[in-house]
Amino acid sequence: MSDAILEVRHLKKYFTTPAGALHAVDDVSFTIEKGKTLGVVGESGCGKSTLGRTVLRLLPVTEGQVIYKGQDISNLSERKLKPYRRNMQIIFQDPYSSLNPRMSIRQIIAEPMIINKVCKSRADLEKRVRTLMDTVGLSQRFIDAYPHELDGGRRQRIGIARVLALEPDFIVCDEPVSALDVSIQAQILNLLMDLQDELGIAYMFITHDLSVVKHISDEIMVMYMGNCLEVAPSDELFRNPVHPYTKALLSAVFLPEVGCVGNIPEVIRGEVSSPINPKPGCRFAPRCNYVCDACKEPQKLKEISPGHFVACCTVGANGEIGS
Amino acid sequence: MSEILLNVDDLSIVYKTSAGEVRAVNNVSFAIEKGKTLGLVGETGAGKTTTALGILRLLPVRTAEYRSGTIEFEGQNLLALSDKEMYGIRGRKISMVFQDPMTALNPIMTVNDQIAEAIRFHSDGTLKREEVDKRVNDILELVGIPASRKKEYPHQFSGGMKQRIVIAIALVCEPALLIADEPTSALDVTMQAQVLAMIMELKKKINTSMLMISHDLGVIARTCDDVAVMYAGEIIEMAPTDMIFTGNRHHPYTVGLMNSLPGVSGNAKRLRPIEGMMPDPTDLPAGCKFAPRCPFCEERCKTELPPCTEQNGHLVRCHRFA
Repeated sequence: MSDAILEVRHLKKYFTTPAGALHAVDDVSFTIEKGKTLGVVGESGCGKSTLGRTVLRLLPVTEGQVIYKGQDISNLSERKLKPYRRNMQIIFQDPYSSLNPRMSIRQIIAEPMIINKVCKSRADLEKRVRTLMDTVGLSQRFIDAYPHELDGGRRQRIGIARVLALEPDFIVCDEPVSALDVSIQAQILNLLMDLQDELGIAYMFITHDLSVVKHISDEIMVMYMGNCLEVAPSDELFRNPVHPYTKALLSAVFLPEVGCVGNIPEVIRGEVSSPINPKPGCRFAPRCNYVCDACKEPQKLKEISPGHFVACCTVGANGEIGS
Repeated sequence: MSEILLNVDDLSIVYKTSAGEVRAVNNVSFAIEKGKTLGLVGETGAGKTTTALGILRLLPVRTAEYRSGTIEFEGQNLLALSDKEMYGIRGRKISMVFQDPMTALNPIMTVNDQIAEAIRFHSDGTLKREEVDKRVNDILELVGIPASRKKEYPHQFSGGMKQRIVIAIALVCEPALLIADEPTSALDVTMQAQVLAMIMELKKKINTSMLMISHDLGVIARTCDDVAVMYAGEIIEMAPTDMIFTGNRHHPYTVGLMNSLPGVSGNAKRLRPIEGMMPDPTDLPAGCKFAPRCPFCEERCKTELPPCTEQNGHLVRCHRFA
């Protein structure tokens, strides 16, 4: 466990709204080891993007600790934080809005290296930009192109090249493939995994797409309304989902299978309730089929098998619901 | 054989732009029987939405042009109808659910007024206010929205509920054909399942045929009787749903599409994506449109358009099976 690159302890992020405190991330803890991937899944509004941004200190932390390689960065000043920013990067969801339309590809990829003064000469910088373009599979003829001239898949490759420029060891991938078509999505996923193998980068992979998260993650965390409901190794979570919400989420994924025309499974009813000043207790309870009195109490994560944690009072020690 | 409701034959649509002619839909033919669902799959830019808008004659008049083909609906060619006659078809007999429920609704009209508008328009104003009210309430109940909320505006609803309202408007006149253009792509998985289950149930209830457009093969597998795969404006494979996912007689693009999917059950560590990108629609290859990316590409693929061959209702447009 000493290989932990990032450790998050009881992280909270509240937003102040006119209606009250919005609990975007509420008491979330996890650890990511070097070269591993933590997948974070949940539906829109569950706080997964906020979590990613708070971990990188792109948003101030309300409470809790973010420990990067043994150093608590949750309260560092901007100046002291700067060296850490180099090593912790983010790939954004939308390759259309995350690139400056008035900069060429060369400028976009070079910018982080210029700011951090990593290259000694202009020729050196140029060489580095071209190498990075090779690494992410972008043809060098695009070096003077502008983002609008390229399609979504290529733009996302620029986003990745820019992030790799400073050789980070931790990258938050915030839905990096959701805006892409499946065939391009597969190309980008392969690229991210190749980079991880070669450079030993740790990813926090945020997505709502369960098949993508299974494919890329070592460990998966399921979020609902700012809470972590279940954490488990990837295979274990898909083989043996325990929390009622995880089960519902998995059953709602439609695989391209044979013989299931017209077969749409019954999934959870209702919608996510408001995250502003939520009641204590399980936040999934209003939609849950197994709801009981104990659900009104705050839920704690408990370990039901090695590495498999679940926050549900109806789950017994053996992982069965209702025992 | 049951009755054919919609028969699209040899349809070609181009967009005239300053960069040249965009050949969005090329010689597309398909038919939908009464009560059946045809799925149209393909990636961005494959021409799925242009086909759908083409059927409804909703394409931009200045740039889009029908190059060839007929669209026969209930025995009449839609392309020969006047604009006025089209009003009687659109929304009444063929209606459409758009991809993005956030922009498909009018933000300054209440939900009640938007649904009532469709009812009034298509009943030529013959219905009394109470009758319109009753139909609004009925359809809202069918799509699972409490009638007490009908005086609210679209922004007061969540994405899933907005899509239910869009569906309510589309189905309130009990159309013979519903065109659903990526109806659940903007929704979360649990909402997607809810909305799809609802569409399928309503469809059965009013015996509507459906053209389901999606890039999601999982959604197609559960909702469609037949599937057509589009690539660069052409239908390159068409078959009953189960046959698309089984057998070994497939277009190489369909195979590539399946291999690109990271499966929840599969264990492959690396995906096998299709190399390269879809061709530029202003400059399509002369022969098979997929040839530049195809692992089985031969000389004739580059010059000759492959014919469509059929075997047990399974159509493939590829030289390998000709």
